[in-house]
Amino acid sequence: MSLIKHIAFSLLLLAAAQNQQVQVQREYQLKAAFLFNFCQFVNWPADAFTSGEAPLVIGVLGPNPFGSYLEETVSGEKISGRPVEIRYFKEPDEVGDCHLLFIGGNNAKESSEGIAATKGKNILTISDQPNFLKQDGMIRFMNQQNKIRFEINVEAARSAGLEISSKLLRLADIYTNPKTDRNVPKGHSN
Amino acid sequence: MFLKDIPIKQKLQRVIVLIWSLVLVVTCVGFLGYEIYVYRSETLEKMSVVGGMISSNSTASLTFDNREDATEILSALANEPHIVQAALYDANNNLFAIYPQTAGKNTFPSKASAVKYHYVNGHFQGMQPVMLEKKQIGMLFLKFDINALYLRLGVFGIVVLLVTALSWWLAFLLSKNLQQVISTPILALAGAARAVTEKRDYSTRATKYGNDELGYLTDSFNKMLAEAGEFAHQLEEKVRERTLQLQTLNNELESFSYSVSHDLRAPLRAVNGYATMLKEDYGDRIDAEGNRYMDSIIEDAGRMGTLIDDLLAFSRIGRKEVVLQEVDMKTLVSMCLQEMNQDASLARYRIVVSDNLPDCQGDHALLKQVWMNVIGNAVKYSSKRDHPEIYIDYVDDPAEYVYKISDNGVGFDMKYVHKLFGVFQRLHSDQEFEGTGIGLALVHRIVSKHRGRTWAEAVVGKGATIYFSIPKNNLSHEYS
Amino acid sequence: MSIPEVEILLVEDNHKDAEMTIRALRKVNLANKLVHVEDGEEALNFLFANGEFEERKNALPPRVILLDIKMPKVDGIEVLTKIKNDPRTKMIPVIIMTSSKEEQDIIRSYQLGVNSYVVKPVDFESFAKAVSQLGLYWLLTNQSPNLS
Repeated sequence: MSLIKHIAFSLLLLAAAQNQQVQVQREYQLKAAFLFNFCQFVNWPADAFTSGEAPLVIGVLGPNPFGSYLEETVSGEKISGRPVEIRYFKEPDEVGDCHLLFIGGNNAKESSEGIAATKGKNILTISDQPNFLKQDGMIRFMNQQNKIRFEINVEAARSAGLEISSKLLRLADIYTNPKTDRNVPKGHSN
Repeated sequence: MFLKDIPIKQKLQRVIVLIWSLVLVVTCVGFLGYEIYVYRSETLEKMSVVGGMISSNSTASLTFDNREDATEILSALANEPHIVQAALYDANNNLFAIYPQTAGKNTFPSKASAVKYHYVNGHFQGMQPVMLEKKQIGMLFLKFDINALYLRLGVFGIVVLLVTALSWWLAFLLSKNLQQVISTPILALAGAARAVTEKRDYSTRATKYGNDELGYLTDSFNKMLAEAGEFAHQLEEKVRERTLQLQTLNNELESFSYSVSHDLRAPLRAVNGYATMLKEDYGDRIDAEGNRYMDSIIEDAGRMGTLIDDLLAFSRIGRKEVVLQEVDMKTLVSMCLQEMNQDASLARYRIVVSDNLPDCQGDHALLKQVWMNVIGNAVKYSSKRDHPEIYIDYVDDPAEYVYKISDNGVGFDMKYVHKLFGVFQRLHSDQEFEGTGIGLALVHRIVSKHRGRTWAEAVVGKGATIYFSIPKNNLSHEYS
Repeated sequence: MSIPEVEILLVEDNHKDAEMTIRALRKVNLANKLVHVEDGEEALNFLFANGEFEERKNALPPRVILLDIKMPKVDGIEVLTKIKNDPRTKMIPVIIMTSSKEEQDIIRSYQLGVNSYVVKPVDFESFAKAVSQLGLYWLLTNQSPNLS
C-alpha cells in the first residue's frame, strides 16, 4: 500500500471518526505518515550516516502513541535509497544513533531532557508538546480546525546541521525565538 | 492544354511565372511546416519546464495534503499568459487543486491519466506525473492556449504574401524581358513564314539571333526558302514556256483548220462540180453503169464536205470560250425543236418536254448546239419507228442539273457505250443511219467545258437515253 | 473604141471554181458581161484602171463584185478594204464568195462593209443554185445607185 494512499485513507477515516479513541488513533496514524514524510524534505549531512546504504532511523522517545502505525508506514519504503528503521527509547540517555526523534509524553521536563540528549547530533526532533520549540525543539504538531498542522523552529534545525526544504517550510508555521532578534524569512530558499 | 493556342511570348512568360509560383509555394509550405514544427517543439519544451517546476514545488503540498498551498503554487501560473488551465491530481488521480480558481471543476478532466501533450480544440494540453523519491505522488494537467501560434502563423502568412507578391511581380517583369531571348527568333521565323505564304515573296529572309538550335533553324529555314524560291522561279519559267508553246500550237491549229476549210473544200468542190458537169453535159452519152459511178463520186465528195465541216465545227468549239449566263433550258429546247421542224417535219414524232426543266448557268450558243445534237440524235435513231417517241426530262440532284433525252429508237449495245461520245465513233453503219460520228462527241466536249458529265443507257431495239449534266454552282472564271 | 460594159467582176484564183461560177451564171444568162481576174492585185488594177487596165480610165464600174478571200499576193480582205475606202468604188456591191466559214473572216468582212457573205457549198448543185440566185438578185432584183 503506497504512502499517499495510506494518507488519503487515514484522512477519510479521521473525518468519519465518531468517538474520541478512534479519533486519537487516526491522529497518530496520520502523524506517523507525517514523520515519514518529513524525512523526504530534510537533508542530513553526509556524516550523519555510517555508509551510503545505512538505514535512516526514526526514533520514538518515551511512551509510544503510534502503536504499530510507524512500522506499517515505513514498511518497504526507502528514502534516497536508504531503508527506514524504527527504534524505541525509554529514557533520554538511551537515545542513540537516530536521525529523527519523536519525543512523546506530556510534560516539559521530559521533552527538555529529550532535546538535551540530541544536542550535538544531527537529529530532527519532533513533539506534540506546546513549549517544545521554546526548548529548542524543531518541529511541533498542532491541531487546527481538525487538521494537523506543524510549526518549525528553523534556527534549531540549522544548528543541528539539518536543511529543511523550503517546500516543507511553505506548509509550516515558522517559529521565531523571541530571545534572539533574528528573523527567519518565510519563503523560498531552494 | 491551356497554353496551346496562345502566342509564344505569353506562353513563355506564363511558363516562367508558373514555375516561379510553384517554387514559391513549395518553399512557403516548407517554411510553414518548419515553423509549426519549431513552435510545437518550443511549446513542448516550455511546458515541460513549467510543468517540472510546478511538479517539483507541489510535492510537499501533495504529500501533506495541503490544497491551499497547492492552489497557491498553481496561481503562480498567472505569469504565464499562454497557460489557460492547470490542475493537480492526487495519488488516487482525483482532482486536488485547480487554476484558475474561477474555472468550474467540470472544465477539467475528472480523473488523471497520463496523456502526452496534444492539440485539442485550439489548445495544447496533456498530463505529466508529479514525482517524489522516484514515486508518482500525483499528476499535473496543463492546458496551453495556441493563439500565440496563430498570431505567429498570421505574421508569417503576411510576410509570405508580401514576399510572394513582390517576387511574383519581379518574376513577371523578368520573364517579360527574358522570354524575348527565345521568342524573338521564333517570332522572326514565324513572320518570315507568314510573309512567304501570304505574299509568295521567296526573297524574304528570317533574321538570325544566335548560334543555338533556333539559329540553326533560322539558317535551315532561309536555305529552304532560297531553294523554294529557285524552284518556284523555275516552275514559273516552265509554265510561261509551256503556255507559249501551247499558244503557238493553238495558232498553228487555227491556221491548219483555216487551210483545211479552204484548201480541202476547194478541190472537193471541183471533184463534185466537174462530176456534176460531166453528168449534165455528157450523161446521155454514158451508159447506166457509168452514170452510177458518177453519182457515187458526186455523193461521196459531198459527204466528205460534210465531214470536213463537222470536224471544223468540233475544233472551233474546242477553242471557243464559254460565256456563262442564265439559260432558260425550256425555251431553248422549244427553239431547237422549231428549227429542226423547218428542216424536216417532226409531225410524226410524239415529243414530250417536261414543264419543270430547270434553268442553268451556261453558254447559250453552245448549249443550243448540245440540244440540237442530242435531239437530232434521238430523231435520227427513232426515225424508223412507226410511232417514234422522244421524252425530254430532268433528274433531281443536289449538285448538278441533270437533263435526259430518251427515245424509243434502235438503241445500242451497252458494251459499246464507252465509244458513244468519241470523235468519229459510230455504233451504226452509214447504210442504216447517215452520220459523221461528230454529234455526241461535240455534246461531250461542250458539256465537259461546262464541267458537266455525259453518259447514256440503251437497250438494243428498245431505245436509248442520253444524259448530260451542268454543275449548279458554276463560276465563270473557272473556264477558258 | 468603146469600152465594153462590165456587169460582174469575178475575182477568183481557182480556175475550177471560176469555171463553175461562170457556168452557173451562164445558165441564167448573166455571164455575158463578166470579167474574171485571178488575184487581188489584178482586181485593184481593173477597178482603178492601173497597169494593163489603163484604158478603163473612163469606163463604168462593174455592177457587182464577186470576191474570193484566199488569194495569192493581195487577198480578198485587202481588196475589200481598198474598195470600201475609195469613194470611186465604195458604192459597188461586193459579195464575198469563199470556202472559209471562219467566224473572224465573216465578222471582219462585215466590219469593212461587205454586202453579202456566201460560203461556197461543196455540193455543185447547191453551189450553182447559190451563184445563180446571187446573180439574179444583185443584177436584176436589187436597185443600185446609178454610178455612171
